[in-house]
Amino acid sequence: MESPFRSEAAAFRFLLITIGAFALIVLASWASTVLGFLTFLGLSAAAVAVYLRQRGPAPERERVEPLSGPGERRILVVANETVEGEELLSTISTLALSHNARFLVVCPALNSRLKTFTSDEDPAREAAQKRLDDTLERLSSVGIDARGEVGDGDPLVAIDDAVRTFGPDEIVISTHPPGRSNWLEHGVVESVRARYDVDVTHVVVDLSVREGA
Amino acid sequence: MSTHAESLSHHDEHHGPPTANQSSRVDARTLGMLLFIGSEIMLFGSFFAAYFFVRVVNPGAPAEWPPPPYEFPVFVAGVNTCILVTSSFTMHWALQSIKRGQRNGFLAGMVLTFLMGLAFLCTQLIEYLNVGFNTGDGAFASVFFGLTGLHGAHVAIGLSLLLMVIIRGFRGHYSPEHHHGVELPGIYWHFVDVMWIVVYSMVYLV
Amino acid sequence: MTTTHDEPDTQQYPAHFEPPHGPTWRLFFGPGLVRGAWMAGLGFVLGMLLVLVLRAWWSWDPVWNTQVVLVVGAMVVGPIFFLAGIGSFDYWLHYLSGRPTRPEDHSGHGARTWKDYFRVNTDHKVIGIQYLVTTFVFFTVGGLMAMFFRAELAQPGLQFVDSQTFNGLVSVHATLMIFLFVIPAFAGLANFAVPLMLGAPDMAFPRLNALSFWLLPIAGIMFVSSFIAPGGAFGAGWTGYAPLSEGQPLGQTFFNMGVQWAGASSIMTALNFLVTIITMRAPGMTFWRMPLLVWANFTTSLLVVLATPFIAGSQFFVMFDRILHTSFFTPDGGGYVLGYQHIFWFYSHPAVYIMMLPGFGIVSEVISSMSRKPIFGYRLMALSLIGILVLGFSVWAHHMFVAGMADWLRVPMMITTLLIAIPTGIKVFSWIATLWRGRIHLTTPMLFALGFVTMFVIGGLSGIYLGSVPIDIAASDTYFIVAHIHYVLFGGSVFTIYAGVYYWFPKMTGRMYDERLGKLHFWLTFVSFNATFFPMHYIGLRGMPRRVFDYDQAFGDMNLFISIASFVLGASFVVFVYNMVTSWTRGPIAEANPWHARTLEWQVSSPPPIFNFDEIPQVVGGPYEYGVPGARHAVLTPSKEAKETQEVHA
Repeated sequence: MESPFRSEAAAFRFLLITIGAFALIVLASWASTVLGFLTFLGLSAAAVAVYLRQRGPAPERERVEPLSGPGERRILVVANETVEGEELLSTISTLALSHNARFLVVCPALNSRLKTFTSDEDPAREAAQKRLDDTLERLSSVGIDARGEVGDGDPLVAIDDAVRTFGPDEIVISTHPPGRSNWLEHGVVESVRARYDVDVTHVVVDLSVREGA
Repeated sequence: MSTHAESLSHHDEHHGPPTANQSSRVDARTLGMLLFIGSEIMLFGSFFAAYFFVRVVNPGAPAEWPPPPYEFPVFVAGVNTCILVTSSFTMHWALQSIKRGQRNGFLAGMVLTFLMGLAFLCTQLIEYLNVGFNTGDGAFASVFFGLTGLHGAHVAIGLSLLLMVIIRGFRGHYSPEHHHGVELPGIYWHFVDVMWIVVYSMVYLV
Repeated sequence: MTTTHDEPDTQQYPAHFEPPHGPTWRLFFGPGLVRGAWMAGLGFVLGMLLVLVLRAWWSWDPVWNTQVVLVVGAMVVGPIFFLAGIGSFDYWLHYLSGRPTRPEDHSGHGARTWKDYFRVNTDHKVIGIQYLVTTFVFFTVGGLMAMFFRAELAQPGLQFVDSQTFNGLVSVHATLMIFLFVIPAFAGLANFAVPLMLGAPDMAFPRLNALSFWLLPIAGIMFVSSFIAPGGAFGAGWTGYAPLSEGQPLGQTFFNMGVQWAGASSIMTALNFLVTIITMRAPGMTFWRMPLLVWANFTTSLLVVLATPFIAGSQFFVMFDRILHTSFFTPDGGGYVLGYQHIFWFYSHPAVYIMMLPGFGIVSEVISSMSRKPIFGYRLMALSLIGILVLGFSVWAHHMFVAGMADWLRVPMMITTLLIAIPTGIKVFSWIATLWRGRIHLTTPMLFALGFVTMFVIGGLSGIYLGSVPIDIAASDTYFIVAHIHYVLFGGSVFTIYAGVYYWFPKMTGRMYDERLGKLHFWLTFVSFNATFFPMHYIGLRGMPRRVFDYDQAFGDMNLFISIASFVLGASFVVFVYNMVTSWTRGPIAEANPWHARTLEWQVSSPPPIFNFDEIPQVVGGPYEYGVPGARHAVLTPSKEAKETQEVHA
């Protein structure tokens, strides 16, 4: 049952459903007033429940306008806790070697749900900034000149900000392995692939392997 | 205002405004119609609240509603209901037609819808003249004329919107690609009908 | 803003359409106030004739009924013709006729001279200023009425006016202040600021916006002209309770109808705000990145759209009872008298939140930028607005504790009333926490914002007292209520309106107001306001009823003191008007961002370019990230105007 306000056809269907519903309500109320009232409540609740469950149409894919100059390839790298991972750094190095690449590393300032709602963002920002700075230093030590930014706490919003202002040709998203990754749980990589018409590379970084070694 | 701002704005005029970003998948005009219908539902709500007070809350409310010897013209209003519901069908048919590019079907549907809406109002007027009671005859009459009258006013608004569509339709303004101007009055018309079902049930039947 | 034409244009007129008639013809017959005036007269005559013809045809006796003629002629047809005369329906009539659409030449958009402010203008910035000037005119009228009846109340007994006129003054004062000042002044400030803050070129429906404004003077004229109706101005209070309002002379109808026009204006504006905020935010501006002024107007607009139809209904019922002899509220015919209060307060309680939430938004903007600190707990500030919105619908009967309603309803209403203190308290603590360790700049807007926080807490505390049924039973309809009302409406809403006007004055006019006069205005207002209204708590609890023109000798000294203080309060307004007028005409040119604030309206020139932005900004962060390293609210293409302005002030 689509929202009756989205289109005339939906409104027409809503009219037909209303006729049926009110026929029931009137019949029930002829039996007893209380029954009529309860029928009304019940049917209304059912309508609300059905409406809340339905999803709108899927959004169209967005056209990303790459802002890269001739010969240049802009690469957006998105990572938070995995930003210092070896797999990610080696992916970046490979990309740097094969293209005239310009990198933007975005570290979303991930935060706990409670702290997001109480707007307690400073510690998360600082932690993300620290990780980002370390990574940029490591990259520059191997000759890769990358820019970095701490992004919004919601990775999809952070990616959208960067896509709109950086205009990348490619996006590299680095996550923890499946099972340990919050982003994979929430389908961040799929959402980004569905939303933008640029290449998306997914790098899995297993930090525990490095620590164990 | 400083002159330098004036000269700069004169330069801008020739460019026109930048196109606003669409930050929602909901179309602005459809959302506007939704909110307008929402506020009209609340207006009907206030009339239903008054009905609730005089019939349910009022300790002196008559046991029978309407109190004898008065009767509501359930049958006439029932016929009227059929007319209005049929007009929604013709409205829907009109929109389906224009979406398929069938201009004749579209125009026929719109004209039929308008005529049936007009018939509804005329029937209601005749009903008022023959109903056997006046506005001053008690709370039941107040509620009757109030609710059906409010609804009639909304039918009138709907008819003006339909007329706008018919005039523009005959001038060739609508096509399978461009018929948003028909869609919105269509939504409004169906809501007038939905509201009538509620009013008819609550005033005449219950 | 160009409309998206969804039909193919079969014929187009040239872009700069030159009218074929000379200036004199256009003055009388072209859209404008002159044509509006004579068409209003014509409308009245036509309405009157319609009534007379129909009444004669149906053999009603007598054929002439002043009330019906006035309602139809002067309060419905006349105003509609006025609106047609000024040209607010021109586009839609053209659209209706099915003729080819004219390409938008933007001639009705933006103000180049002062005359443009007296026309139907589609620019939200112009409309915002139209609202503000109009509402302050009515503020003056309503304030003068207050000083008049304060002069009457300075001593016991009747000295200057008779009882009906006194009641009329009190009623019209409140009605003007609520419907013609507080509610539309917030609408005006929001009209100016919100599209800019969203990164939009204008509102979603600019022509509807223009129409909404012009409905307002109609309502104001209706309320004020009730004084010349036979029987005097409506004297049943702004609350207009049945059955009193049903038996009142003709002036009451002016209230019934004026409310409809003001309500229609309010609903249309709110609808416009909701659609704009939902569908026209700049890219990257998620709901959690909107400035709090936008959040506040979003929730306020929801309140307006949902609640205002109830006051319309209540006034319709009173009119039907008066004119058509229905029995909505007349017990003889089976009506339910208390139903009026339920239906009326179901709107009028949310109305007080309509009159406060935008003020909360303004204060958040001012306190944040003037303390150079992010708003503490931004998300909870936004959620508390929603909390107030939801809870606000559940407390209306706290205005009816002593009205004779069902006893069982009192305690639940008391509980919900006390609960509203929670989201409100979250906001107060949040503002205080924002100020904490901030670099505070005590400019005039900041002074008013701080004055608001303190005065609103006092008003809120008296509200907590009144929310408790036992106290309300004793304090209801006394001056304690008058004190509470004015602490939250004057110390609350009016202070925030002043804060907003001072804060956005440089942006709106391109000139800076005089800071010393601003501070003088604040301190005069603050002191005289407290001197006027604080003692009312005391005399109210001692037993002085409200809405009385005479009172016990024991209250005489206090009333004299209050009246004198109220005259000082009235005088303080003169300082404000003087400052506004001289600064607007001769003040120093203001820079684009004199407050170094981060929201989008400050990133364009003062005043903004006619279409706000050259390119829609890209929002990449929250609006209050003062002092957060690397944080940006938005990325803009530097506009030509901003660069030039900076060069001027380099």
